[in-house]
Amino acid sequence: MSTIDELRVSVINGKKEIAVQHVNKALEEGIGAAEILNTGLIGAMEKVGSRFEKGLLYLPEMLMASIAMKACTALLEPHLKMKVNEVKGRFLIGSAKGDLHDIGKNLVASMVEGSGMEVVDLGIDVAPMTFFEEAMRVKADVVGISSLLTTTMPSMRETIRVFEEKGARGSVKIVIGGAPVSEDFANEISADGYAPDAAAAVRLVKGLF
Amino acid sequence: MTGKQRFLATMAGQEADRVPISLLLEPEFVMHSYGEKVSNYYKNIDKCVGAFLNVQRAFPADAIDVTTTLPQLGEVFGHPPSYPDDGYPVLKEPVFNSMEDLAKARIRDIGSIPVFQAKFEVLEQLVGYLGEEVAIGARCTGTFNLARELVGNERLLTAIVMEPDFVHKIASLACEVMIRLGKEYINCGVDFIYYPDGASSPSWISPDQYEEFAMPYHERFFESIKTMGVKTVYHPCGGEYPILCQVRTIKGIDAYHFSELVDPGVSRKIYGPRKVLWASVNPYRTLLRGSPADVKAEVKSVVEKAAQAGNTIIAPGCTLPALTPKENITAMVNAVREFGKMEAV
Repeated sequence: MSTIDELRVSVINGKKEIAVQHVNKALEEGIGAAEILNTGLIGAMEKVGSRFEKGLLYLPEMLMASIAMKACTALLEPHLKMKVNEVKGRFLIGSAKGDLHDIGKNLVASMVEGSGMEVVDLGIDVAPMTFFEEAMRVKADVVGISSLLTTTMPSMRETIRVFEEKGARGSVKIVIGGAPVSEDFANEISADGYAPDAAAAVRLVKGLF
Repeated sequence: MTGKQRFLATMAGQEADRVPISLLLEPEFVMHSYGEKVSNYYKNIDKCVGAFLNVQRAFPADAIDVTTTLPQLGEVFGHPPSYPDDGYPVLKEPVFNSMEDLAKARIRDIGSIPVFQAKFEVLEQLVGYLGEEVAIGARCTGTFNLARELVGNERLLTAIVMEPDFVHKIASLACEVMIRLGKEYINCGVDFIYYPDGASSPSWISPDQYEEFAMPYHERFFESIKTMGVKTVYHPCGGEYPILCQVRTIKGIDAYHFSELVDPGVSRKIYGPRKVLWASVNPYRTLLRGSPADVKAEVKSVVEKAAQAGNTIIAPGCTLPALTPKENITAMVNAVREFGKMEAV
């Protein structure tokens, strides 16, 4: 098995220390940082997402894989000519105003980051205007809003309205997710997409860039 | 039959005149329907009782229940949550971060904690006002739900892989808390204990992890509560197909409430005609966003799939969303009365 293959396996299996060792070994072997990132790490997270969707692994394993991925990415950054995720796009995410749940949001953030995009996480209880202001400030390409309480869903609609009112709706894609949310609701509020879980969110966000 | 008689007969696997209904109302819905703030659910006994009476008048269910909101349980360890004026309690930080923390954990006397004293008083008053007509229940949160609230989501999930002893320690502590709370609720005169535990569902952990880390504590809870003579309902909450067969083996459960993600016809086939099931109407697609006609059609379908031989209670797939249109709740109550009559055999 090549070093890249071993790296991929160690990330999929959530073995942070071993994955870091493989990154160092790959660098010593002269493998380029970009190749390590794209083939080793991003490839691993795509496999993790696919297995999660098929019920072959669950949240504990996904989290461990994300943690391994982040450790490896941090190691690679100095070796890359540009920032890790500079060209692939910027994804801004937060939980809707009034919503204090974050596990789903955190997973989506990790998985999207693992797929090669820069992620700005605004945390929980994010007001519509904050989504707008931060999206403009960081020049987000896609904004993701998470909601686990039905009472916070109207805030998703309000966030889209704020972007429209400020004349910025055309410059950013807005996607939503969370247990009570659906494709129907996304269509109703004119969101650009809906994802039922973290793996689907990665595909959705990547498809919007 | 009164609603209470109907509910308890069904829960005992006996004949009832029709299928009962339980609405699983959220605190926000209960209080806002009464023009009151959510904080009064926890802190103002009179307003909370008034709100429940008001809701029961408007939407007459056969069973009502008072819920335990997870962050409140931080009080049991001397970590009270914040109580927003018109929102749910919030624990800002985990209560326990290490095995050392857990080793020092002391469970306070729940009966001495004011917010729980208020809750017990609410239950006793509801038993007094409604207890002859309506089954009164208490929603105890599940062991794993509490475990993740006390240590944080990511800590619990990674510990399943890295620190299994930590998971067992926190789950055991959480289970002990829930057993003590359950017993306090039973002392208030409730008819049933409802036990939701989404954090141990397949939405979170695998069937193998469920078997190792969650099932032993669920069983410990149910067997302990059963000795006190009330009915128990287990709500695994979240993509339950992978664990349906495992759940069947847990002792001490009187009724099973699977979410809307499980087809009621499938659960009835797996559990057979005699197990008591709470069969679900989709709380988001149908109750929140559908029309009264959609609600009526789904209730009819659920009754046909699951309730042909009785032993079924109709409920939303999880707690009723707080923004559910009132006409949809009325449609659900009416549809259960219309389609849920038991045929003479």
